[in-house]
Amino acid sequence: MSQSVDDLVKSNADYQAGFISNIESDTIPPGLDESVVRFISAKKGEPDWLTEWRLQAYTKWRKMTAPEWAHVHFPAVDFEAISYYSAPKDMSDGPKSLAEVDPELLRTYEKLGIPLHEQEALAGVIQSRPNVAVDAVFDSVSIATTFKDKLAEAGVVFCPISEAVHSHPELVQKYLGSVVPQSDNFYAALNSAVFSDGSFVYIPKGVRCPMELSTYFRINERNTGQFERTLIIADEGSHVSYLEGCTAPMRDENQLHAAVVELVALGDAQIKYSTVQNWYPGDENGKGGIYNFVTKRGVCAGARSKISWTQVETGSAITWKYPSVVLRGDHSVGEFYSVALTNNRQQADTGTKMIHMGKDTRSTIISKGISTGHSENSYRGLVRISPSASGARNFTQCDSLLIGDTCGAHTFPYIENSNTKAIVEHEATTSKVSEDQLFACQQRGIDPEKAVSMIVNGFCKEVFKELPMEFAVEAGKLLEVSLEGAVG
Amino acid sequence: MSLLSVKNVTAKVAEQNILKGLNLEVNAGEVHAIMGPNGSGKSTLANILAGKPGYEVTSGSVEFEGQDISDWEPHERAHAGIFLAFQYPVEIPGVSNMEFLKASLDANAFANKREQTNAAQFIKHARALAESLDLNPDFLKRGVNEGFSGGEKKRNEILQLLLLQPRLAVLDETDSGLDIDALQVVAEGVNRFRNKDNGVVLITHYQRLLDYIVPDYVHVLADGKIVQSGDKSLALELEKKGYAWLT
Amino acid sequence: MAHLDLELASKPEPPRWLSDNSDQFHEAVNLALNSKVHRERWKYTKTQPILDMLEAPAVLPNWHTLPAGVVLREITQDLQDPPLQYQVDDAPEASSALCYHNKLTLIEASGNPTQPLVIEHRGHSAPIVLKLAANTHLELHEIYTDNVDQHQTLWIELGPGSSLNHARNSFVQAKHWQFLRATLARNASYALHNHSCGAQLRRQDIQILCNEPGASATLISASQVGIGQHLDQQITLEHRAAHTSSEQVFHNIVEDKAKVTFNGRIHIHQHCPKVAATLQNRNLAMGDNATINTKPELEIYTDDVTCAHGATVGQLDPHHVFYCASRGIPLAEARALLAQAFLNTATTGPLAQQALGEFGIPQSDNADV
Repeated sequence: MSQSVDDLVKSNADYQAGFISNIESDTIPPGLDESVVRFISAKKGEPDWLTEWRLQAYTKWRKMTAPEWAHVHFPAVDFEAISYYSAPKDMSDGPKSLAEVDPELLRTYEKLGIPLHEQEALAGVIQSRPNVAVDAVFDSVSIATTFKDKLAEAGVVFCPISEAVHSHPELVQKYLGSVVPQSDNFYAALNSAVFSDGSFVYIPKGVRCPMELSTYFRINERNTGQFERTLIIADEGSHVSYLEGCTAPMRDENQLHAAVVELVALGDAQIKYSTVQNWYPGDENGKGGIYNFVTKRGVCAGARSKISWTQVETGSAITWKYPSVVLRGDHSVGEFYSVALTNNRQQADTGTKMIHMGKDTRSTIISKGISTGHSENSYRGLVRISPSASGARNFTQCDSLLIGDTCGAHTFPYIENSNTKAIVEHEATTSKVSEDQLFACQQRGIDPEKAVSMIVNGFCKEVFKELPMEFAVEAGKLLEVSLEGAVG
Repeated sequence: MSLLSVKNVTAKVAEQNILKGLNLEVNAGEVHAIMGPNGSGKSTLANILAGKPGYEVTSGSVEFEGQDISDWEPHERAHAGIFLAFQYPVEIPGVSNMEFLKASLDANAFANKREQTNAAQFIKHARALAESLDLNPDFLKRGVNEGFSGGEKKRNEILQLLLLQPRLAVLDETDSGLDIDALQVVAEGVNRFRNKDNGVVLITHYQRLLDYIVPDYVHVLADGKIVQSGDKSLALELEKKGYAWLT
Repeated sequence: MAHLDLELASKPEPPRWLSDNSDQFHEAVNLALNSKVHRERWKYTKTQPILDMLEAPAVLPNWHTLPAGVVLREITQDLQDPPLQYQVDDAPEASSALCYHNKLTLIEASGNPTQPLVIEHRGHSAPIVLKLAANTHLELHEIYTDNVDQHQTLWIELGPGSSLNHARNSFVQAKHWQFLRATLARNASYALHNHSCGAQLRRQDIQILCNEPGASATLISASQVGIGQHLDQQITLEHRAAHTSSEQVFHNIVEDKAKVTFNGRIHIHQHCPKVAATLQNRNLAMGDNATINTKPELEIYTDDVTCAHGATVGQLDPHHVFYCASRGIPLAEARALLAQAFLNTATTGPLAQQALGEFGIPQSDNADV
């Protein structure tokens, strides 16, 4: 790298969500065995069938070994040193009205710009997300879900999964584990045993959900893992757009986030799931940070259904996730738009799987990886066309942008095609922010940090335009903050 | 008043000494043409004025409006009012021309404690400038120089010149690769720009451009130094006799 | 020691010139054969059938007249300077081949031989090491004549400034495993023209290492995979120095019930700026029930590089087919014509005409067209 770019190294920007909230919590001692699983189930007052389900998952988990194939390196997680349940003290009996929630807790969400007060949200006082229904999950518990009444009018069910188990048991029983079975992988099995909370969404037939739904996860308590479980069911002809946001405080030790998200789209339904992930990434020496090992999968169960995953991942020490779509219904569509940025010592091994099974299915994958610092950023994708999937079409574009020469950018696209009447196109390019481009911007008065940010934003444009507007603005800013200190 | 004062500058790039004692004085209201054979150091001069990384001034001084700018970063020189029209403008896909121009304008305004231009006015102004330079205003939506022909890229440089209104414009072989029509459009733009308060350093290989942009002074740069200076008639002499005549 | 799933059927001595300690070598080979990385490379094709092939004795290739400047000898005894330097992990199957054959053919070339070096394999060949001295320019033809199950391992070392134009026409109808590893020194250049068809199972392992600045490699491959046949191509291109370049074009035509696996890995090491690497893998499916697995990989540790890869799996463009039909060309012929064009663009080099013949593509009489 030339002198001028080297000179641009600045100190790391403050991770703005790095504050720790002083909340008293109910945390069980670390370690995992059957009794912990039963404890969690009992705490939530779950019916027997669910307790059994968890125990089955636990038994399967015990027989599995942690996978090691990803292009990421980390010291083995000590599963006995993690506490599997933590909830703010006065919340452990379930969500209450906002007036009764610990004000410190509310302040946490205010600092993050998450609107929990409906009036303020409607008035757009908290500017980032007006008019969005929010389910706030703090450590393992759902704190509040807004706009429930308005949604109820449309017949939309949006509540914590712990509540849905009691209010809509038939739906939960039918669909939980139907997209990501317990035995799917090591972390999914773990999650199935110890999941604490998450969101449940059901959109009835023909309904366009009147507002965007969002869940905001916050890991606060130390030495805990976050194991949320989300289940979204879009009945025939319905539409829903769902946003997921996450942050965690800066801590020296690593914390594990092993979530499972299942999406089910019936005939003619559409689900759009957007994530802006900003978990604490660890400091510049790679100390601390979240391990983000997530299993996200959607099934286009009905004909002409559509599932889109859009993600901007800038956080986590380690990101290991492949939001996938199983295209079962004829003419169904799967989309994956992703920007993954790694800096300092972060590692990401992320991508998607598009499994084509029905006829005339389509999938589009646009992945943009940006790596800098000493990070490693890998795209791993699978496009599988099964013998029954005639007329399948896939287009994949994965581009990597490298900044500096101590980082790595890798692409591992697997294409498995067993139906010759399918068309698969894959392209990948790797490039860097060129010195000439930087100089041209500077000569026009644009300072170097802004120049890199503009160029990187331009690089990510195709993905950003798929994000719901609120998220797009946040994503752009997040990218700028995460890039600081990267040019050099 | 003195805009640019280059005194006895020696400069190197990639460990090669290119400028070997160059002197140049440009006052407000003047247009100076710099001509010379290939390898004489014309682009090096342009790049050291703009502060391009990799180019090192080893002795002598470069002053802009009486201030020593040798330590100034490229964007700081831009804020002060130095503009370089590139010989080979780069493409920046994904960043629209509009976005780029606005960012540049805003950055310069901010640095000089001026008010930012209102977006709607800016767009109107940019479109008008585009049309005056024979550029389809829709190009503003495309990536910077993305898919532009050589002539379009050069006209885009002049558009930026007219938008930013710098104090000193250094045009590095802006005429290279242009046909007669494009040349006339570019020249008209530069002539529109020049006034009694700003200055232009016009680096060119061929005399042809100087028929359209009439210089006040012509300098010949050879082997890293200015070997001859004169008025516009010097350019015609060079055209007839070639560069070998001087050295 | 990890559980060993794959084992060499017997435990022959490794060649003396390679290693004194036979146990260590065996252990290293077995470990490499069972490693996760290695198994990943054999995900779609079983390793055991290949290893089983290694036991059969080698048959002497037909060495056509050696051109001037090319010297050949067989190595069986101890050598001061072992002719091969490499890591077992990089080529575990080829390492086991060395054990079974316990001899290798060392070919050294220098100067500017005016004739090509022709190696005509007639079955399993003992491993061959080809070394080009600095500034040597050689053309190499590899052809195969007997339709028997066979394997060959070829190790190439290109000295500084040397160049090798390598044409390989593999048309035997049997089980065929070909291992090729080329290391390129400063300013060396390597071109491979790889044509294949006809094998019931063909596995081509190609490893190219651009070790020093100025090295460049071009791999152009056209393969026709017939009904029920299986082709597995595993390519690794390592850029270990700055200012190296590579270009790869792989076109595969896949007939009914055939299976093609392509893995093209480009690995750019740290501190290797100004590397340019491109890879294009196009797969044309001609029949129903074909399986095509492709994985072009990029592993990049330096930013100042340009890399691009593309992979497509598809059928003949119906617009092209219709265009031919509208000009009076019947459907079957139109399809054949377009398929031929697809293969034709990747059929290059000194043995191109012969390859076109095998592919069933009529050759033009007019060489200028």
